[in-house]
Amino acid sequence: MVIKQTVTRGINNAFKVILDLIKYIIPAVFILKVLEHSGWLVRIADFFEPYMNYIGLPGKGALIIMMGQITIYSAIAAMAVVDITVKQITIVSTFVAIFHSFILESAVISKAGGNGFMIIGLRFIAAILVCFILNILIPGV
Amino acid sequence: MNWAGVFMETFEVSFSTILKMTIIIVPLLIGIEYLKEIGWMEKLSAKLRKVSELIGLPGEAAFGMIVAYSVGLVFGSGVIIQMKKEVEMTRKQINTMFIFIGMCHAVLEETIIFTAVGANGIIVLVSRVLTSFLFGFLYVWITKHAGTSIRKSSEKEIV
Repeated sequence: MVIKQTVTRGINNAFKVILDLIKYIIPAVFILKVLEHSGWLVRIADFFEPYMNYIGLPGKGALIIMMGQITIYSAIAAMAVVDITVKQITIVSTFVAIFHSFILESAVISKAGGNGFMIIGLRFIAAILVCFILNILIPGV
Repeated sequence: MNWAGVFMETFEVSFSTILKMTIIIVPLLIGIEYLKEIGWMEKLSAKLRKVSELIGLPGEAAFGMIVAYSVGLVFGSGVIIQMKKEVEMTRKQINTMFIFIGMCHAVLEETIIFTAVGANGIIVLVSRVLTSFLFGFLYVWITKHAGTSIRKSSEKEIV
């Protein structure tokens, strides 16, 4: 029956995704926790603070964006570690949604015959632009 | 450094995050499989052939773009690579497609997981779709006009 095969295939895919989640979330959380406990998280956040403020994010937002370059799931893990407001979660999610996994995705685009480098560059510019606007438009902190 | 704390907190945060993501993603993937099964994407792309031609792409490109928009970039580019074997496309056309789908892809999965961690999913989704259209149409417009201005200047030289 069609429905049964659909569910089976869905569950098979789900197993792969759960493995991916384990593979990406645990190391990401571990790295961030080591940074947090060693005091480096604050130092990195302080360094990025002035730049991140343009798009309404705290310095720690930079760590979420960096983790997003591994996978979206790593960024999600980073959001669970870093304490940020609801408005900031929306902004950083939009940033990561537009600009993430840049090495992997530019490779995918180049393989299909596109200019991966240009498209990733545009995505980075777009992410900054959109988050700058969102920071103005979304009310609250 | 407090290694016991590091390991304990890593375990706690990882476990709750993985559990949360699993609960969301598993039904979602079954749903996506179902959408593939009923040929929803084929039907939608048949309707969007005209839009695809409007931005200077072959009508067949609509399917690859719908797949990328809804399911993901890797899967969508697989469809595009297959399509390129049957339909000839210029590098500019391929870049056009990837600007549209690069900015915004896997919206089903990504919007839901960002909503799950507390983001306003509607804002995230609308921002991405608008960005995708803005940059996509801008690229189409710029390349079109850059093309004509080059042609015009070369015509002048001939005259």
